[in-house]
Amino acid sequence: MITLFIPWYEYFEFLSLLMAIIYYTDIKKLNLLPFIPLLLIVCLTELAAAKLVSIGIPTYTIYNYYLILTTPFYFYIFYNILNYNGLGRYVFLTICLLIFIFILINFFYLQGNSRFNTFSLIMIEFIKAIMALLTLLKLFDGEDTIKIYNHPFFWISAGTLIFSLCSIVILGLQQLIEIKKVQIDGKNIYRILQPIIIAILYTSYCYAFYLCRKLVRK
Amino acid sequence: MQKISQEIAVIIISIVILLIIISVVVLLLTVYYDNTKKRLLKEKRVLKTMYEQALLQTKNEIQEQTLTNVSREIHDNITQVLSFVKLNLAMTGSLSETEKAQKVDESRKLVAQAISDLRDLSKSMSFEHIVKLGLAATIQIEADRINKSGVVNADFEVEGDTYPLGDQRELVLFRIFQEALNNTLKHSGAKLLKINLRYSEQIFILTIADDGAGFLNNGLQNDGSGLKNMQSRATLIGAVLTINSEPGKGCCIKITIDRLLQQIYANANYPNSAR
Repeated sequence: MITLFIPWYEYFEFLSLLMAIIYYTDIKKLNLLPFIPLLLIVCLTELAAAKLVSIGIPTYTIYNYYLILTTPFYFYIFYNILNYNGLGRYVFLTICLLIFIFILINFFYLQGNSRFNTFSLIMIEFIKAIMALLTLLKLFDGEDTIKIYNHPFFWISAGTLIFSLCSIVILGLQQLIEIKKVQIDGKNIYRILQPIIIAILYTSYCYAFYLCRKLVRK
Repeated sequence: MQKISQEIAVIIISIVILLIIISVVVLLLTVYYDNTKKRLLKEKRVLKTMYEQALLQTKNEIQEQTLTNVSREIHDNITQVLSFVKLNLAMTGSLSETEKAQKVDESRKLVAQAISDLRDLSKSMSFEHIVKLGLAATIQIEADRINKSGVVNADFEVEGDTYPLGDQRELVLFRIFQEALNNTLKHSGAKLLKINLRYSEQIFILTIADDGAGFLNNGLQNDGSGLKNMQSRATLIGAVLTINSEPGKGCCIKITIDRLLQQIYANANYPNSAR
């Protein structure tokens, strides 16, 4: 019998999904409902990946599908958060569409499904970091009387910004790390850094969901 | 090989840590500047509310003063004239035709005077009139009214071409003028009142001087609330109010507005009052 080993950082992902479900009505009011399917995909992917690892099958394929599936949800979340009108909306949607087309082209014709789609990942994380910065700018520019650090959008952006910037380096260089066996004390560097940024990202999401309730009930 | 991979590992870790630090610094700076911005906005809102409240109070006071003037005018003037007309007309029954015609003619003249006085009253200084006529014209009407009453001889003079100072600012200026005038009429025993408006490109000055009893001016600390009110109102519209007075030497109140500073002040804090 194969035992399913779930790494510690994945509990943060489960916790954020749980909190999104608990605060369902509040996050719905702030147009953050796409977080639920997004986090569901995240958790299912991690569970499936854990299962594949336990039976010794590479997880590239499942993470490539993960990128394709989660990207539209991220775009939709930031579309709701940024809430652009007029030309801004068209520019935003066009950029999202072009990036998604690139991801599909990369998946089917460029890097393919036999290895991790680092180009797609770099592109996605880059645009997510930009969106997070735009969200911060919007929050800063707004006339809202609520303090910025009490706003759920701030924590979503903060977590996303840190995660995306670090992921560009860690996951972007993933193949190099694998080939050159970049390790510290015999441990793959990816296994050291990635859990930390995952914990940061999902903790900030959890706090953002909690703030949704505070904001809605205010 | 092992050494190289370790070096790469160190570089990657350093970059990641650096990126985390940069992100955290960006976030902290955003929070800091947002807090500062919100604090300033809050202060601005408080100032705006205070300004609006003071303006409302000014309007109320102008209206109150107007009503007092109207009531006094009706009591002291129009009622007297109409009573005299009534008396004239009552007497006509026992008079000859020539005397009757004389009395009726006299009464008609008195009624015409009463009508004229009532018309003047209708032009009294409500804030709508100040806004409509402008500061100089309103002060002119007020000076005429005082001259007509004969209590004080008011000499009104305008230097330079008049220009609007903004509705709200003119209201406040008029209220300061009204308060100064009241002080002169009530306390100074002055015979002559000089009112001067000086309009120049850089500066606007309103001077109200009388030859009355005067008072010891020691920096407003020991003065009445009227003077303090005038001072705070001047500050409210970004004007400078100075009072020169000595016992027996009359009093001179000068309100100065630096137009350039005033424009900056108005644009920064009270967009509604900018003109």
